[in-house]
Amino acid sequence: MTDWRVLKVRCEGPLPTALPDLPRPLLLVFPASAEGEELAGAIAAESGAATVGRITSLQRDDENLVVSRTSHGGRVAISLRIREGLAVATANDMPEGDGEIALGAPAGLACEQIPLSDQRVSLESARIVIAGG
Amino acid sequence: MNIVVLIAGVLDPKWPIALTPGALPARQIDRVIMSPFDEAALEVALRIRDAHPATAIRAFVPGGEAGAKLARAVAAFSVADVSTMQLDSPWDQASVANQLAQLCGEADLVLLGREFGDLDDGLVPPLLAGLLGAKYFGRAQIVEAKNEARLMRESGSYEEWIGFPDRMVASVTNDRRNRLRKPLMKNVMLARQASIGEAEVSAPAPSGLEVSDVVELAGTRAMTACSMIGGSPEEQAHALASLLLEERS
Repeated sequence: MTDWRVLKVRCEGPLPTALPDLPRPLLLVFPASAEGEELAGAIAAESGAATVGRITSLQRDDENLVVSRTSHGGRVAISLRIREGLAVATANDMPEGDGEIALGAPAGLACEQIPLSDQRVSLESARIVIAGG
Repeated sequence: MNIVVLIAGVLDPKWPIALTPGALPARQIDRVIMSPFDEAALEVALRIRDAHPATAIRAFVPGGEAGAKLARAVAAFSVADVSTMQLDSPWDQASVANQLAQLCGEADLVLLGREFGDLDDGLVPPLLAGLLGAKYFGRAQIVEAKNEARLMRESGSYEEWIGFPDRMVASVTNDRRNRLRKPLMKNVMLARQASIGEAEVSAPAPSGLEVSDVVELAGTRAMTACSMIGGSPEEQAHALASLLLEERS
């Protein structure tokens, strides 16, 4: 039976990105948003975690964790096997996990913010597309 | 300013993918092109150089011999220093970021696409910034290069602008205001004779991650819940508003 635990991460607050001391093996699943990716990357770089990308499914297989994701513009599905340690992933649809933790977003850059003069949303980033006709 | 541009390249989606069972698709030399994100990153670098001619641009393209054609396409934009390199485990984003970090040297600004090639979905850029100890600006859309160069991204209902007085890694997404220019024909011809170097990068320590299966999805379609909205215009408007409110909540 696998010891892998899967924790969903909620990006929250201006806290340090240091991970609490959690038992391993452990997969942290971040939301596949700009903030989630940035935090996942920062934590992976700091902790040396394996990164498995934007997963679409996961399953425990004996001692291992097997995750799947798409590549090549959705034309190929890859399954990756992780044996031990700490791994990070992102997901659009968060999988059922063994719990949830809140981790702070990386310290924000000092950006100048200007309200958008053009409120149109680009087609590429629209969450909902309505077509008539 | 020293800029490093990391051009991942993708398999041209015009061509079907031929899979060897269990193996990742091969990057064939004549089928690797710049992704829209690669193009956007390169255009940002070129616009900064246009405004600040002392800017030095170095570009790296993965794939060794297979990346040579793409490297020449980059050289055609008068980028004199273009090299290829070999990525040991392109499916392993941490490994890729580790090897890319070896190429960035003392660059003031590292530019790469929002996704680094076919096998990344957005984790390589922030990982790279973390490994370099550099500030990270994700999903930049355009650059304002006059005077002090600044990058812009849209976030919610705001434009966010940032200069880069410190070392920075910026991932760039495609935007209609930042389309890659066409190279001059004379530079395309010169690029055919250009010397393309090969950068040495050492393999990182094994991460324990391995590919267990690769399956082609061509022919399948992603399914999305869909419904027809009928009735009078008022009923349709009401149903649509309910749908949008539900999505927002």
